[in-house]
Amino acid sequence: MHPSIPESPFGEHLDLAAVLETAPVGIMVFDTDGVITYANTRFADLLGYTRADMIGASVADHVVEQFVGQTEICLERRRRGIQEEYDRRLRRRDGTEVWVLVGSSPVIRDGCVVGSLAMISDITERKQAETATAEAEALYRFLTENTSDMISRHAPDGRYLFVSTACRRLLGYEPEELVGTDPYDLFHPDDLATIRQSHDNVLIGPAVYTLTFRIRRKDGSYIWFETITTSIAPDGDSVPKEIVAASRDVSERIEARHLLEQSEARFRSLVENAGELFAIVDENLVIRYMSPACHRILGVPAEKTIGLCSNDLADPSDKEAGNLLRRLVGEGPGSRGSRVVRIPRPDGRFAWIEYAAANHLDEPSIAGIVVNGRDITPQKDAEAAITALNQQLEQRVQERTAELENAMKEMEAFSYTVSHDLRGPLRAIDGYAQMILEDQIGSLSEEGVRCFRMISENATRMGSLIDHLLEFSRLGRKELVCKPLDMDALVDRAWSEVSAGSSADIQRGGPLPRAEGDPALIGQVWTNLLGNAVKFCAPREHPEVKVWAETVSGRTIYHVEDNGVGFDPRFLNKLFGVFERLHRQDEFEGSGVGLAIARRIVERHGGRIWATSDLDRGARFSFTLGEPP
Amino acid sequence: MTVDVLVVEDNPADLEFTLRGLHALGYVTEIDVARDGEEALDYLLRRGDHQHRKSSPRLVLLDLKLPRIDGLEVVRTVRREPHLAIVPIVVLSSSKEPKDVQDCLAAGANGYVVKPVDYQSLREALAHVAEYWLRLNRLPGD
Repeated sequence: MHPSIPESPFGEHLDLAAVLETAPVGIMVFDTDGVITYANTRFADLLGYTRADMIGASVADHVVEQFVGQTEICLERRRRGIQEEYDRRLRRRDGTEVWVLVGSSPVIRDGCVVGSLAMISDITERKQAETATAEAEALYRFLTENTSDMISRHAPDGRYLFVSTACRRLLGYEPEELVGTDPYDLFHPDDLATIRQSHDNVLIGPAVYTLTFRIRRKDGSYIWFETITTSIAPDGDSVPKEIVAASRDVSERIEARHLLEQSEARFRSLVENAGELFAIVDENLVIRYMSPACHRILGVPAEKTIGLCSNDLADPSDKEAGNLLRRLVGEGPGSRGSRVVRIPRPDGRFAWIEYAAANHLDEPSIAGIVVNGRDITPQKDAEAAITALNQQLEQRVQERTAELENAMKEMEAFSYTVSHDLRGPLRAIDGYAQMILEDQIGSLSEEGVRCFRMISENATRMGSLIDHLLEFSRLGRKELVCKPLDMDALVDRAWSEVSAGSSADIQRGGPLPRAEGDPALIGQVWTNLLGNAVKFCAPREHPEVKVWAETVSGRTIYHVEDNGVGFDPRFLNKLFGVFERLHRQDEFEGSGVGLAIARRIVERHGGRIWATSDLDRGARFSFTLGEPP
Repeated sequence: MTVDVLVVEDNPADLEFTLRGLHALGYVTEIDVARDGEEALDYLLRRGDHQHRKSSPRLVLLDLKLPRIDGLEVVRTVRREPHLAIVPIVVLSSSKEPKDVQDCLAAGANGYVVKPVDYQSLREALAHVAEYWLRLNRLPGD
C-alpha cells in the first residue's frame, strides 16, 4: 500500500519544511526526470555539498557510475507509482563513496506522479561489517572443513547445529546425521556428570573450558575427545545463543597415560610393599625417596630420612660407606655397583644391608641414583653365630685333644710303670725260686721242687703276658706308615718264622694281590694268623695250612685256613677278645692276645677280620684291608 | 787296685741277682755298689766320700730307674767329663720302651740290656755283658 503523503504541509507551510530539515535522515525530493528540487542539510552534509548546490542537479549525478543504469530504472518505477527500498552507492563531492539505504516513494498529486521523495541513511558501516562477516565466514568454513579437529556448534541445550566434516573420520558419522541430534546420546555413561557440569558452566559465562571425555563412534567403539568449548552470546546479551566446540581424538594419549599410570601404580605398589629397601639419592647423595620398608629394616620412618645424606645413615666407623655412591656419581649415568653396609638402628642394634646402586641421573623421571637394599641381618647374625659356634667347637676340640693327649701320656706312663715296676717283683719271685732250686735242691722233697718250678714257670708266664699286653697297647698308639705291600713276601717271612720246628705244610692259592698298609703291622697279622694255624693243626698227622685271596665286590679278602682242631662257633664272639682263650692252657700255649692284636691292626687299616669253623674240622680266618687311606 | 764293676742298683733283689750272677762267672772279683744316681756320680766323679779314689771301674752296670738322679742323667753327666769318656757303661733296665733305648745310646751308653724276667735268662745276659766288656774288649795295659 502506498503511503499517503499529506498534501497541505508539502511546500506550503514553512513549519513542515523545518520538520524535514531537522529529520534524523537525509531527505531529498526530485521530479520525474530526476532533477533534485529539495535536499535537507543532513543529506547535503552526507555528500559534502550545500543545500543550494544540490538543488537543480540530477539524482544520477550523485550515483556511482555502475549504479546509473539502475537509477534510471528506479525513476521509471517511481513514475509508475512504485515505492521501494534499496541500497545504493553515492559519490561524495570529494570523490569518496558512501553506501546508503534509500527509501523512495512517488509523490502523487491529483492522481499523477509529479516526483519522488527519498529518505536516505548512511549504511557504510553496516556494509563494511557485512563484508567482514562474509570474509570471516569463508575463513571459518575453510577452517572447519579442513582442520582435523571436529568443529561443532551447539544449541544451548546441546543439540548439534553444525558439525564439521572431521566427524566422518573421528566419529564415522556424516555431518548431516549429527545435526539436530543430542550429543548426550553419544557420551560415555561414566562421563555424563562431568560433561553436564561443564555444560552448565559454559552457559553461565563467556569462558573457555577444556574437557576430556569418551564419545561413542558410529561403530559402537569409544574414543577419547578433548574438547574446547565456549559459548557465544549476541552483543550485550547474557544468554548464550550457541556453544562452539573444537574436539580432537586424544585416545592414544589417554591410553598411553593410562598405561603409564598403571605401570607407575604397579611400580609404586611394588616399591611400597616390597620387603626390600628402595631409595633414590641425588648427585650430592641426599636422599630424595625412601620406600616404607625403611621403617621395618632400619627402624626409622621413611619420611624421616628424606633430605638426609645417605652417608649419615651408615655406621660412623665405616669409613668407606659413601665410596660406592660417590664413585657412581663420578662415573656418570649407567654405572652401577654393589656392597654391604652396616647401619645402626635407633634401638641400638645393627642392620646389615646388601645393596645395589645404579646411576640414573640422566633419566628425567628419576634424576638420581637408585639404591636397592636387601636386609641380610639374619644371615649376618647366623654367620656370627656360626663363627662363635665354630670357635667354641674349636676350643672344645682343642680341650678334648689336650685331654686325649693327657690320657695318652698317662697311658704311656702307666705302660712304663707296668713294664718296669711289675717285672721287677716277678724277676724277684723267679730269681729266688731258682736260687732255692740251685742251692738247696738236696734238702727239698720232690713235691717241693715241683712247687718251686711252678712258681718260677708262672712268674715267667706272667712276664710274657705283660709283654703281650704292652705290645697290644702300643699298637693303638703307633702311627700307621702305609706303603704298597708285597703280600707274598710278608707271608713268606711270617711262615718261615712260625713254621720252624713244625711239620706243617703250606699251600698257596696263587700270588696274592698287592695291598696298601703298614708293612710291620700287616706282617704281624700274617705272623699271628699263620702262627695260630700252625699251633692248632699241630696234633694232625698231616698238618696243613692254606693261604689264598679272592676278590668280592671289588674288595680283596685274604684267607688262612688250617686242618686243625677248630673251635666251637658258639664262642665266635670271644675269639678276638684280649686274653680270651677257647682252649685250655695245657692243650695249647698262648696268651690270648694274638687274634686281638690281628683284629686291632686290621681295623686300624679300615678292614675287617672274621673266622669260620666247626669244632674239630679246622678253622678259616679271613680279613680285608680298607681302601688305601 | 782297679775295681772290675760298679753296679748301680736300688732294687735289693735285682742287686742280689746281679752280684750273684757276676760272682758266679769266676773272674769278676772286685765289685762296688752304688744305691742311687747321686752316689754313682760321687763315685765316678770322685767327689765326697770318693774323692781319694784313684781309678775308674772297668765296667758300669747302670739301672735306669733310680731314686733322685736317674740312670739317663748319670750317663749324660759322666760323658761330659773328658777323663770318663771311655768308661764302658751298660744300662740294665726292665723297660723295653724303644725311647729309653734310644735315649740311653744317644747319651753315650755303650749298651742296653733289657732285664729278663726269668732268672736264667738274666744270668745269661750278665754273662754276655761281662764277657764282652771285661775279657774281650780289654784296652792295652789294662
